[in-house]
Amino acid sequence: MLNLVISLNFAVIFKKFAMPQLSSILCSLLLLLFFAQASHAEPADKRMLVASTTQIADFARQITGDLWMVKSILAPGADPHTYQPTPADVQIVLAADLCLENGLHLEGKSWMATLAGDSGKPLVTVTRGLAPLEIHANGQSIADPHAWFSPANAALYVNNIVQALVEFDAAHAEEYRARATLYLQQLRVLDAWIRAQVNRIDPQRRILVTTHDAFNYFCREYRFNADNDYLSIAPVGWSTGSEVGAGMTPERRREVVASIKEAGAPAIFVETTINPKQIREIARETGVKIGGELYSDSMGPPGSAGEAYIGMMRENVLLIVQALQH
Amino acid sequence: MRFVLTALIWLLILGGLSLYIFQRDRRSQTPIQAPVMHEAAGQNFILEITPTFSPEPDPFALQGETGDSPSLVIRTSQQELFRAEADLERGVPVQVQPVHGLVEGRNELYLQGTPPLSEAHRDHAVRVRLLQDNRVVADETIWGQGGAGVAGTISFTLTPMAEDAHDH
Repeated sequence: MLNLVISLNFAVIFKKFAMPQLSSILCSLLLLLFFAQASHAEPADKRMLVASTTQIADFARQITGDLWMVKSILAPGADPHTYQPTPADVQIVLAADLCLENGLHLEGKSWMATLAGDSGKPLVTVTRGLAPLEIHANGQSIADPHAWFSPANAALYVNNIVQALVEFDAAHAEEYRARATLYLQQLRVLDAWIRAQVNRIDPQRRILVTTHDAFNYFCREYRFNADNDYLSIAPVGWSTGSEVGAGMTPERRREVVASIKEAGAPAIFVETTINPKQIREIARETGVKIGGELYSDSMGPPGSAGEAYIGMMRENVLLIVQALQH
Repeated sequence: MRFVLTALIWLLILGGLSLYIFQRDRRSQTPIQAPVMHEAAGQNFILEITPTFSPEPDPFALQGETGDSPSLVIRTSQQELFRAEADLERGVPVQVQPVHGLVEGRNELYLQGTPPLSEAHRDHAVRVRLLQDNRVVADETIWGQGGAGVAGTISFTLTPMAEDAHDH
């Protein structure tokens, strides 16, 4: 503001006493300089936090406020299991002060750990301390990485991020904790709201079939798929990549089709990050309707209802309740 | 000559503006005297707490430095008066004595309690009574609607003599 006052005063006085043509040029240059400064007004000391996924970036923003610039490597709709970092991602991480990852092999082939390690940046795994659900596939036990689908687990993510920020920047510890307290209350209310909404679905109809095994925590928390030990039913495994238990096998597809027919699933769901072709084929084969498109491994784009975690969960639940209730 | 005059006028304006900003900020730095508070004798007080639920550790609590997540906490602005991790029974009063941190004049207690997640659809409450020399100084019930937990404040005034006022 002071710059503008000085610039305008100088221009007016100069115009009055000096040559009009020269004063016009000078006035324009001064105003240009002012607006150029204003458009690049980011504080020089603003730190940067880089998260692997959109969900983790959202949690971080809720805690850091305007103190940090927060970026996500993955764009909305991108698949973390099969993502391959680009040179642009390397540049982003090089500029970061702190990196966050989900861990539990959500980031296929540990691409976020590789990015942070190669750049020499500190990396925090936000699922630290979590008791993961175990998926059994091909005789192996695998920890399901999609923990954020339980708001209680999302609270753990938030606590881990707070701890990391406080260790990194103790001067603003109270501020981080204050924001986190508010956000945790919002997560608590979200959890209660989901229970109330899901309660509207008759337990016999509470069957959730999705494209891939991303909803185990959600099913376990809110009591979907009783006949499947409250775990998700999906033709594609826990990952869309090439890990053990990932992808779709003919046997797995047969099991899912049988489950849908036997349980009388009212609807099945596609996901925003995965090609819907397979699930649509299964829907045609079983005569079951497509209930809608769920946010799974990624939140929605900016401006969409699912652009933040709470919105993502809210929209998923509304879609599920609408499809299964009747 | 004209250019010199222009520059001089510019310097005058800049100088005057800087002087004004300096004077304005200097005036605002006058420290405010904080009121003197006298602490009331803690041993004269009993805090009685009665929840309608058996609190459980709260997965949505902010983890403290000790890593714990209390299920029921009562505190003033300066210190914690009561904390429960578990072992509270619904409907059974718990007494805390002595109660430190209360002052003569206006006081406020903050309460936060977490009903079990399985009962999140029900309304719950915590009754808080503060007694001074066996007389009730404050008696309030804090309600929480489903999902939001139980949280609220209890305001009261302590005077140095026996007659205490209770205000909401």
